[in-house]
Amino acid sequence: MSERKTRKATLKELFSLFWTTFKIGAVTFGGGYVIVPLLQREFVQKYHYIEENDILDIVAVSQALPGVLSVNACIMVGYRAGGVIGAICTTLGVVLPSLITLSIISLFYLEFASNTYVAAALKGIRAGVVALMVSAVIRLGKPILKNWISWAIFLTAFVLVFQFSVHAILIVIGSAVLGLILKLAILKKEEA
Amino acid sequence: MELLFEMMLTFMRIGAFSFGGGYAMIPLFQKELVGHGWMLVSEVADVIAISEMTPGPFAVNAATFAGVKMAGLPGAIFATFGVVFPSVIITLVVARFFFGFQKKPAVQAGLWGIRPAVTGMIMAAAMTIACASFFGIHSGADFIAIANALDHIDWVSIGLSAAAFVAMYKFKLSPIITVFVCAGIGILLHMLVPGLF
Repeated sequence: MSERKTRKATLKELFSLFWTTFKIGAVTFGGGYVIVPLLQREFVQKYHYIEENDILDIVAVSQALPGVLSVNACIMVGYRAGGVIGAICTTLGVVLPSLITLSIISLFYLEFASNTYVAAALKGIRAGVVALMVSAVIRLGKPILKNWISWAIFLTAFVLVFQFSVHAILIVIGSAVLGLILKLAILKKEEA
Repeated sequence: MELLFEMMLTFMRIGAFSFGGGYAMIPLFQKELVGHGWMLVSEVADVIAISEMTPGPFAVNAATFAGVKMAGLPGAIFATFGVVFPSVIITLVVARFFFGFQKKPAVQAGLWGIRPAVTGMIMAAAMTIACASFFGIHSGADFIAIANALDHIDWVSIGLSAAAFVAMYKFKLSPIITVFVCAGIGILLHMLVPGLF
C-alpha cells in the first residue's frame, strides 16, 4: 500500500468518497482539526485508503498550504484514494454541507443564533467533539510517542500552540528542521 | 453576471493568499468584503458567530453568506467555488509531489520531527474545545484562563464527554453518529431539566 501512489477508483468508490466526506463535512463543528478523528475513522480504519501516519503528514502539509485546513486535507485524501477525480469528489463532499446549511441559515440567522435549542445541541456537540479529539490524539500518539525525544516535541508543540498561540506553520517548519538535524546526528553517531 | 465573476475572483484571491486557515483568514475577509461593500463589519462578526454554530470551515461559511446576500444561491456557489478553487489546484500539485517523495529518507527525517509536533497541535485544538465545553472559556483559552475558571466547572458536559469517549473508544461507535447523538442529548437535557443545559 505504501508504494502505491494513486489508484483508479471505480464509480462506486468515487461516490463513496463524496458521500463519506459529505457526512464528515456535516459534523465538523469546532475548527479544522476536528476533521482528524473523522478522516481517521472513515479513511484509515474503514476504507484503508490511507495509513495512520499519513493523517499526520496530510495535516502538516495542509496546514502549510494556503486555504482551509479541512478542505486541503480532504483534497489530499481524495487524491490519494482516487486521483484528481477523487480529490474533486472529496472537495465537493466536504464543502456542500456548509454551503447548504449557510444558504438556509443566512435567511433567518438572527433567530437561529438566539435559539436556546440550537445552543443546547451545540453544547452537547462540543462535549462530544472533545471526546473525538482526545481519542484521535491517543490513536495518533501511540505509534509515534515511543521515546523521550518525540514526547518532548509533542509537549513543546502543545504548549507553544495552546499557551502561546504560536502559528501552526512555524511549528511545522520548526519540527521538520529539528527532525532533519536529529536524524542526521543519529545516523552520524551510528556510523562512528 | 459581472458581480458573480467579481465575487468569484475576489474569493479566489482570498483562497490563494490566506495561510493558516480558519480565523487567521478573518482580516483578509474583512478587508475584501467590507472594502467591496458586500458586507458590513457587524455582518462579518455575525458570520464568525454563525460559523461557531454550524459545521464546516469559516471561509466557506463566509463565502456562502456573502454570496447569498449579494446574489442569491448563484452568488453562494460562485463565491464558494472561488474560495476553494486555488486550494484544489495548489494542494493537488503538492500532493502529487508529496506522495511521490514521502518515502525518501530526507522527507522521512523531516516527518519524523513533524509527526509528534502535529499530534501536539491536535492536542492543543482538543484543549481549546475542552476549555469552551468544560469551563465556558470561549476566547483566549490558556492555562491561566483555566486556573481562573476552576470554580465554575460544567460537570454535565464533562460527563457527556466521558460517555462519548467510552462509546467511541471502547464500543467503536462512529464519530459521526457520536456527534449527532451528543446533539440530541443536549436538546433532551435542555427540555427535561431547564437551566441545566
